[in-house]
Amino acid sequence: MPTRCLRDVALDPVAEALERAATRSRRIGLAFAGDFPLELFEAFGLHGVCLPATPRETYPQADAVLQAYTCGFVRSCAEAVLASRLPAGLVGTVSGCDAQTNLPGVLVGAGVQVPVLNLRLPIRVGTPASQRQARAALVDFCHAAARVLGVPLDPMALTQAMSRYQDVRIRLTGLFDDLANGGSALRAYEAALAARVLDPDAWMARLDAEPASPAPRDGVPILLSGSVIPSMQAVIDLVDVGCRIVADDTSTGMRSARRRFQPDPADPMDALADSLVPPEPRGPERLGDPDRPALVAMRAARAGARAAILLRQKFCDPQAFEAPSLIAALRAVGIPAVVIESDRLPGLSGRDRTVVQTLLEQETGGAA
Amino acid sequence: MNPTGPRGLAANQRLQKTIRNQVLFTRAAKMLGRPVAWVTSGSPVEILLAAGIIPFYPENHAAICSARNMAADLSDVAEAEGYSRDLCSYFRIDRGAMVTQKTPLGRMVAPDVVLASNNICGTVQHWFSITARHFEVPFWFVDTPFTEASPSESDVAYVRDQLVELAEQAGRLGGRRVTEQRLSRVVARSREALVLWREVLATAAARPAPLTSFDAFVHMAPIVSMRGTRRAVRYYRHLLAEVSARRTSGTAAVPQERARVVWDNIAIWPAHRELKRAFKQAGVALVADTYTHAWTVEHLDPSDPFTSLARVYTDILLNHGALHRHKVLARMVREFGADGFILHSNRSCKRYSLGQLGVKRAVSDETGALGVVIEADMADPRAVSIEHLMQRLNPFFEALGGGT
Repeated sequence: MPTRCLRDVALDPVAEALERAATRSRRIGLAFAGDFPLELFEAFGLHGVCLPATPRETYPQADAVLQAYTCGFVRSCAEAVLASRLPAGLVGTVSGCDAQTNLPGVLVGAGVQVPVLNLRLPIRVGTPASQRQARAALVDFCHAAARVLGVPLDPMALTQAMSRYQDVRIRLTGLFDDLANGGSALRAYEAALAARVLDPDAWMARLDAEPASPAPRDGVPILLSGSVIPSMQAVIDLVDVGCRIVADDTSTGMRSARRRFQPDPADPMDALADSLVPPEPRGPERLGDPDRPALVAMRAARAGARAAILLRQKFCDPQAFEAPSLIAALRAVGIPAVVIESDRLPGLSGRDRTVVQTLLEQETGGAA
Repeated sequence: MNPTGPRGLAANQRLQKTIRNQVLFTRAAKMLGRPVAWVTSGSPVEILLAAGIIPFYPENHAAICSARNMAADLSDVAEAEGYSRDLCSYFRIDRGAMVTQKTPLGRMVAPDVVLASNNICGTVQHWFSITARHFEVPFWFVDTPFTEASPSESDVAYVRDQLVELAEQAGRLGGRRVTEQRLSRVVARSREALVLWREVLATAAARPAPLTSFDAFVHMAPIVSMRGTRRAVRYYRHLLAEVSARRTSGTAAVPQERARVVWDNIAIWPAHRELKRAFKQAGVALVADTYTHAWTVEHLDPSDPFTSLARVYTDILLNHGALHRHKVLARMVREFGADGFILHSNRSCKRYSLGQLGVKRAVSDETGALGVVIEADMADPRAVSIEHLMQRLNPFFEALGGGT
């Protein structure tokens, strides 16, 4: 079977996850949040997969158990489990927004057969207490996982996985940092999405083997902000409309890629906990540095962004709460912003394209 | 038995007076230099009270604004600022009031500090940090780990540490050190009020029920906004005496009570009166609800105030997942002899609402009671249609043996 390129993996992550599980005869550990440490799954002999959003017109199974005011991301996560499309051995969720926090109860209530465990990370981050609580949450999760899987955590596998995933994040950070210097946004986002599905070694091999497509030289430099980007298609559409993404503030991108722990830690759990609760980078779902909007605006200005696009999942509360202050902070540094709301479409709607084009034309005096 | 006797609670007038006095007290205290904290309904206010800080409850304020038909106009103000209409209506109302200073209370008392705890939802961490920024005051936050079952010992320790830190901060702001002894006294008053409130609600288990949740939704105001004070204890002593007398005399809140139901979620304030009337006409008594019962916790221990506060504020209903909420609802159906239950799918409260579709199935399977889900919003009248609600409720009432 031919190996998919990173772009294809990013466009259809579920197909890749299915193939990966079949090839290696291992069950999948399925995570539903970018801040879930996939290393934990590897330590229990599972394939770690963090399913990106998979927008669809309908989610037959999820729509039967979730109200209409649930965001598309949580809906697509629920659908993946309820429809049993993936051979999951364990589902891992993370406490965060209300929809994510409620998801385990919803899934178990709906009668899913796969064990669903919640990693109860603290909401307040950046304090010594939050580090201790994150450690306790990791230990609780591992005890519960060992119980439901019937196998103990393999400490060696955990340490190795932590190192391999950190290497991936370092490469990803490089790709996103390079955006300001003319790096390809398509390359960065396809790599970020593929990293959520591929084994770290396979991801490295494909990244090294595939030549990066050249970044477009023209286009208006923009900041892309948001939690989970709706899909690779959304990025392709933005570039197609004339955006040149020079700075990222998404959970798919930099918020996840910049997670770090000290190499060769004495206690892997301590190191993991440290990496999960720094005040920055983080999204609005956690309470860290209150100046986050100003920091994001400053980073965007430094990268040369002249406009900003806030990709918001419909019904995503943290993003909706933050949007006005983020827009104000961006405006304060001379960067106009628009909110593009995504729901069940993978790419940009016609209306969204018009909104983005208008923003870009404002910045170029109609030359975009 | 007096199944058709006087139905209105005499305590209604006392409630109005109590709330009015609370508003006046807060205003006067502020004028006299006492700090005011805007707090969430699930905040450990006992610590603030022990420090001499006066709490004010934006959630209650938003509910009052909604009951006084101010919700849509105030929400418009927040929405014009860029806050999505999909966000919590209490937040949008409160934000509108904050910006315009329009309030049914005469005028707003600005906070000196803002305190939130995420034990009731994730919304409040954003709402209250926005409030703190608006007034340029400190934002204190108590992080309570969400749990499907009971909080673990490490959860309790984590919250306790934060409460100790909160007590130090509050003591500095309030000018009164929060000693264990001082805190114990406040905790004892909280516990007494909580016990009285639980006894008030328990009277509805009688047939006919002497009060309904429509009464409880209103009379919960002091337990939310005055717990820890003598005023709350006095208030609930009077209320308990009245409802106990009604129970003894067989006074029915709903004449010819033909069916009994339990409610899940916050009240629908824009339709409160219409729904109360419709239930009464159908002979359906709303005998219990998960919302007002959330303030009936039992483990407050004045001899160990910090640990017991940590346990209680981590263990409240909305800090648990759907599986726990299903158990609570099923227990209420049994204890109150309900024939059915109503799940208010509340657009404004994802924490409360997501999972209800599974809860409905599970509670029906377990108890045999009939359930119905109704879509509305707790405060935004633009998301509430009494016609749509009754289209769902009328067949439900008929199936239960009620109906007009």
